[in-house]
Amino acid sequence: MIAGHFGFAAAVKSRERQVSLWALMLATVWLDIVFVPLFLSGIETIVPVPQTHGGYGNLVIHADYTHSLVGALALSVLFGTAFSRRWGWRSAWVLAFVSFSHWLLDLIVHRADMPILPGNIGGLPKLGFGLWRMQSVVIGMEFALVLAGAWFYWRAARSVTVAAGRQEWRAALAGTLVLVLGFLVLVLDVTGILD
Amino acid sequence: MAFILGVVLFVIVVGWVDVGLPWPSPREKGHEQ
Repeated sequence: MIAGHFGFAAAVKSRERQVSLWALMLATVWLDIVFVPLFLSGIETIVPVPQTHGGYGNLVIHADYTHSLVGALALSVLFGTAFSRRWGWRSAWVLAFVSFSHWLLDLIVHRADMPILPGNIGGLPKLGFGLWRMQSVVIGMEFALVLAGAWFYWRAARSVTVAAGRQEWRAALAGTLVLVLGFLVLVLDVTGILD
Repeated sequence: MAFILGVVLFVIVVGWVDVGLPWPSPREKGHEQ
């Protein structure tokens, strides 16, 4: 899941208007950004679900540090705290929440590959409701998140633009970008065209 | 690849367009220090 995370962040922006959208977008994929170097160094891995060729929804993701419950909480608090001095604690907590929302959304779709403790210390049961077994449902869920995010974001953007006596085209452009780029990223993710 | 493209498009492109909108500043709401 990629596009759905961005859609969720856009929806949050409509409620927490003081937080910059770029920071919310960064927050929503923060766990995956930290995952990249660990993946490239072989510490965290991705393997295809047995008897599949991998791809969208057919992956077991061994992100035992970045996507463990405790690891995700720690990374999210770290991310929020980094913005606290500049933007205050309210914005910091919003960013930390959006960062952790990544883990919550992943919990719904991942197969049971998300440990509770970093490195799966203690061998506790791994978490994940496995909705990826029904790919069409997850695709629909991601698209709904993008659609809702673009809608709520555009309404909020139009509201502040009108209140400031400015032209609405930039709000419309931003809302359209969320929708179109979200759909584009979803299509690329599902089809794996660029992989 | 979709992930990298998504980060670039949403953080930089959409973020840049958003910065031009008259949102309230972080200091205007809930800055409790």
